Amino acid sequence: MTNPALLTLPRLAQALRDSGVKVGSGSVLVASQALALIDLGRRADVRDALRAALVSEPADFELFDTLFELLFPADAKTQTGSAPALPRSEDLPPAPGGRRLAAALPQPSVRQMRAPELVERDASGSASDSEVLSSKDFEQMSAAELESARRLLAAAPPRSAQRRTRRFIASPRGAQLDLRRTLRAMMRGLDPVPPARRRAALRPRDWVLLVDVSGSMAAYSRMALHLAWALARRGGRIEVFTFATHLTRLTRSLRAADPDVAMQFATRAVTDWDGGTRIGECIADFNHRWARRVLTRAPWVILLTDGLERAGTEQLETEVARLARQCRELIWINPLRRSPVYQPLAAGAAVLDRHASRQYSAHSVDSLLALGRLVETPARARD
Amino acid sequence: MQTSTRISAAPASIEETEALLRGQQYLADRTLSVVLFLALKLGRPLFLEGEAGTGKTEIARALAAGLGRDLIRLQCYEGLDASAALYEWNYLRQILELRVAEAASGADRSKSALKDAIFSPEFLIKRPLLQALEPHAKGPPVLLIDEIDRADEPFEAFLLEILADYQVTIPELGTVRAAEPPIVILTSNRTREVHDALKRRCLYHWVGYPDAVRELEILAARAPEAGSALSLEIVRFVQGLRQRRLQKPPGVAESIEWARAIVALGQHALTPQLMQETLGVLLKYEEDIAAVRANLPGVTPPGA
Repeated sequence: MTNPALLTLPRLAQALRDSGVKVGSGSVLVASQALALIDLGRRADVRDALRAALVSEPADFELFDTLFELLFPADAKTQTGSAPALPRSEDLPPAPGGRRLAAALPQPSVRQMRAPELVERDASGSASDSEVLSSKDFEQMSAAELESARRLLAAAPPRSAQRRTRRFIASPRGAQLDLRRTLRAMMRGLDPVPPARRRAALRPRDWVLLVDVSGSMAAYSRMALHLAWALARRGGRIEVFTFATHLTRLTRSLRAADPDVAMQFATRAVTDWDGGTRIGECIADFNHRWARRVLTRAPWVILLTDGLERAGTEQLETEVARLARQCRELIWINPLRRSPVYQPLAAGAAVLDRHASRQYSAHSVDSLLALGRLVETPARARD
Repeated sequence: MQTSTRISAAPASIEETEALLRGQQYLADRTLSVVLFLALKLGRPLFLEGEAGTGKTEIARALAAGLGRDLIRLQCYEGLDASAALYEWNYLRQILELRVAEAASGADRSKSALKDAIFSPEFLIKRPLLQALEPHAKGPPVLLIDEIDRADEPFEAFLLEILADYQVTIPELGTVRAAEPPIVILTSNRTREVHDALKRRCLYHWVGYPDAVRELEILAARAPEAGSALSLEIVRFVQGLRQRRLQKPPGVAESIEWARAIVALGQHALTPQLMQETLGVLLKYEEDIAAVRANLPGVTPPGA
């Protein structure tokens, strides 16, 4: 009673894993149990059952469906044993989902794609060297200096301020009575019992980083991504998006443990590096698709852009205003501010200037780190 | 509802699952029926994700009513912890009890007897998860863990533990174990990503908006007073709205509400005037209302 679907299941699971979908062996077991319960003649049911067991992210549905079509072809009900071979990535039709799938099928791994020369930094850089480096404009750095700057950022990323949660921890001067601990003290026979107290626990406030990767921002956006990677590694909750002509979410790419691998992922994911800028449209897209998912805990939203909007500013005005209303604070980082005589006169910049509650320059390591220190003090000015 | 007292066995097929929900005025598509059938058969929690107003919570209600089981609902929120989800001792009463006992009998009552007295079921406040693990006359209940995305990560980890062995240990009383595990349904509005570990323990189903034909059927079942002509107009308009880029497109719940609202106003057809006045039932963001209002026939957009 060999069931052909059962024989193909491990291949399907493996193909999903190769595509970056996490499929545990427990899920495969559930999938196989599910196959025993349904009519295998109804192909749509087989697909629904396998999908419910193996995939738990709607963004992966399209990928799953494509793989299902390939491995469970409609005309091959009586396949025994040998499942159809997976096509290689270059054979794929340029259908929607094809790009994701192509990335998934056999190809050189990221590790192999890494730049072969791992720059061996000598440790001779004196303190004064790194001081000079810290204040140097990213745009004027050599490749080696940029590499050192990245190290400085990774070593000392800013710390986020904290927000109150609705959990409680014991605290002698807390505002609330802690009845549980008071009772325990009574049971131990203390009399009179000093009432135990508690207060709200704190946790780091979330960050959302929106990074302009258009041509004029090239030197700064890459550094900002390094900073984002460092922040994410420190355990703070951080969402990262890039935009130039369209919005890309990088949060997952930047989770890699190795910064070089993370940057490789990021470079592949973003397709509009050095493109033109449509800030209004991209922020509209963010507000529409992501705001309700990533702005739930009143994070800081950090917008890194020079504000040079190519399109008109009407949409930018509406969307930035909407964004500013939904976050704790909208902080605008503008490398152009490094110039002491800079004025936000360009139409797009003027809009951002009106809605951002704080602005920084962040054109060098020092200024990026300073941003972290400033953020650390909770802003009361707005409340 | 007379069906709610009848206890039915779990459905034996996908078709029966669909019929069971249909009996409760819930019209499920084939995919949902397949997944729900498997969840019941395999004893796996069902994870329902989708936009607000697509009827996720309703699935649990319909299932509980159809099976004649109790529905136990745990509404999640940030900071939800074991004392609100599982059980809590009534500390205030315990402290009072201690004081009274001390005052009445001085020191002659032994400490351990006192301890046994105040850590008895009488002082225990049972929260939804504990209730779901206890025996129920009508059979294992349906446990609805609603909007898990509102809870925080520590709660997810805790939940994972409960869902692994369906038992909890109360140090003072002992272990409570479900003889038969409850039917667990989790919902999420996707306001944040729920951890993979939790999702992987469940069967996953994405609840989308229904197509026009199904939405018409749903209106006929849930708001029959609207009649077919009005329902058709409503569905056509709402389906159109979902194609637009709105902050919050209307869900099925909103369509039903809108149909009922229009009937309550004594109307039987959509006129621009009526739509103007009742858009607030359908759309919940001022920007959305303004954008849609400007496109209604017979309305001059501002500045034109």
